[in-house]
Amino acid sequence: MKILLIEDYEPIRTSVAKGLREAGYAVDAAADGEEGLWYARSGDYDVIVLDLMLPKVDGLTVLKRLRKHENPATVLILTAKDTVDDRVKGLDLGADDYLVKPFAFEELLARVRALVRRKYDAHAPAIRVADLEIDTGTRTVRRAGRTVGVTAREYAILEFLAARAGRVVTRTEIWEHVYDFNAEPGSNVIDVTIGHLRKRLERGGRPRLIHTRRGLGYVLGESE
Amino acid sequence: MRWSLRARLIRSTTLATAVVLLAAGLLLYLLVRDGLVDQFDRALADKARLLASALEWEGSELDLNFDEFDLHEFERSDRPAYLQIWLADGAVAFRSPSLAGADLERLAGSLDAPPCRPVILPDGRPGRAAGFTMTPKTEGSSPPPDAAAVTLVLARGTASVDAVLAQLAVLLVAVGLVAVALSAGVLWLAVRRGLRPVEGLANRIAGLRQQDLAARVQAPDAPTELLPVVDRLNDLLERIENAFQRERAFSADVAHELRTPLAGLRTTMDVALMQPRADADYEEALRGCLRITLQLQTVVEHLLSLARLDAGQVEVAAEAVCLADLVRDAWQPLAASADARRLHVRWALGEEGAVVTDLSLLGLAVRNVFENAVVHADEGGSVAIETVSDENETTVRVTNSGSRLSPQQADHVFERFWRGDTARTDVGVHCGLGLPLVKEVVTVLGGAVTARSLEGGEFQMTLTIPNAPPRAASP
Repeated sequence: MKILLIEDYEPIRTSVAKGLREAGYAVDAAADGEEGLWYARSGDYDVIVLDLMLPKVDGLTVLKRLRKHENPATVLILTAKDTVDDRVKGLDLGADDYLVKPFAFEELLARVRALVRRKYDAHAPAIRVADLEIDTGTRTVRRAGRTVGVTAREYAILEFLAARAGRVVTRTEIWEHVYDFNAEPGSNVIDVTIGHLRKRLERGGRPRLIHTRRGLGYVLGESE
Repeated sequence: MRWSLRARLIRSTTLATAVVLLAAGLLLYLLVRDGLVDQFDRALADKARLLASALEWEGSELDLNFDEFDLHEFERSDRPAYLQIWLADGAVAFRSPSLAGADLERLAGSLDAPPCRPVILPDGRPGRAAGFTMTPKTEGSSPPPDAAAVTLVLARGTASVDAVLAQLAVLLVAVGLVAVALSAGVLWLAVRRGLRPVEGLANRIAGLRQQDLAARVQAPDAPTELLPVVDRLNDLLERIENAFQRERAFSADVAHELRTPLAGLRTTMDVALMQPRADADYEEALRGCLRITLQLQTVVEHLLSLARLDAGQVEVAAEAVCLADLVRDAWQPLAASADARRLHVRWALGEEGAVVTDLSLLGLAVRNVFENAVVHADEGGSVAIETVSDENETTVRVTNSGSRLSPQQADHVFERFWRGDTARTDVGVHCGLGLPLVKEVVTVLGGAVTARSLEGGEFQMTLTIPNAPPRAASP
């Protein structure tokens, strides 16, 4: 899952980006509205965390432009403005959630998870595909009742595939949703991670769940 | 005692009406009385002359010849009239029966205009008497005595006149009282009607809700006399609303300016504590927190200084200050940043003038002006520092390159939390409070500070303070 953070105050930008990355998200960070809009147009983000008081282009204008261009990302406004008017204005302009600074980082993570679920129309925090069970709240993976240990990157890819279970997901889509601008582009980075995931998921002789569609991408689901 | 406008109007107008009516009534009464008395006197004189015309001298004998007259009024016992006639030697020639031996006052005047005057009649009633001296005609051939003149005095009671006058007085008083009462009633109605716009206005003002500062007094029907009041009131409301809006905006800015670094601190620590880390990571987080704390400290100190200056709680010292030292000391903490930004600094310190002012306050102002120049100058640009002293005042002028402010924007730099961009670029370092603080400080020192955008992207701040402190240094 990929997140765009638009925040001009450097300490918050750095810490939030770091925390989100450690939680397994791909994060791009922009320091002003103009840069933020550029990122939003060139990448495919699941959640945009948006400050309101931004240099160059202010947050509400950024939000208006995103919605005008029908950007599919869900938007979380993160701001020190706390009046009811500010909240109503932000939500009415198309924001999906609103969090007032200062905030608990745990709460930001929980809200981001909720927004990701909303984006993929999943209301329950758990995703089930065959005997695979993914708890997006605790970020744990179980197969046939047994916990499967995965790295943050592996989890991110698995969650992304699970959100689109039964459909073909291209390598480009995975790249865009799971890796941020800072990641080194490599032709087989995704294939290698998928390989690791398969090995973990098929431990104990379980049947394959991640299938390759040659020339297209991957599908998560029971074997056809 | 507090009188209502209505009561005041009714009271004074009713009083005035009563006084006017009283005067008019009194005048009328006096005129009528004079007329009646005049008429009475004329009748009295006529009767006296008629009686006198009957007198005749028959030799030395005075013949009265009253037989042909009705003398009933002189004979009756109830409210009679009185007549007395004297001869020239003072002997009484005739007394009416009513006198019963008593005497009237001997009034002597001419026959044509006999004197009339009020008298107390012998029976104690008030009355009027008319009298004159005349010479009766002569009957027959025998001549009259040498002193042929006789004096005749006639007196009558004035009860009838007095009764009419008393009736008139009662009538006048009654009419007056009714008129005053009626006029008070009419006035009450008229005043109530006239004051209705005032009442309406008072109700509307009373109806203004305290929370709703945007409300104005609408008084389309207000009389012209009240329009200035309504206008002034609305002006006042507008000024209050503006002041509250500024206050609210300032509070919102303060909240934002404090919340943002607090959020930075909390997030930095939250994220650092999320999982076990290497020592270097913790150190980095701690350094981040320290940096934010210093920024927060700057904001809080600026806010406190501004609050103290606003409240007039700052003691202003008056001490001899070496301007060159002060300027160099103020520059000291910024020298490193200026070097880091490769700024070219030009110094032009004028001759030392004798400045008596508050060292620490002036230092605070100069340091903030320097900081503004260093932060806003373009990388590798220039800062020029110049001091000039004349006999009255001392000027510190700081010019930096790389300004992007328009001349109009330059006017805003002294507004609290104002920034060239609508949003913050770097909280704390220049939180939008430095230059407002400079302005407040310089004002307290009795000086002035101006900001100008010059040609070629130069921004110039000129700080002028008097060489001697103003007499009332502290507000």
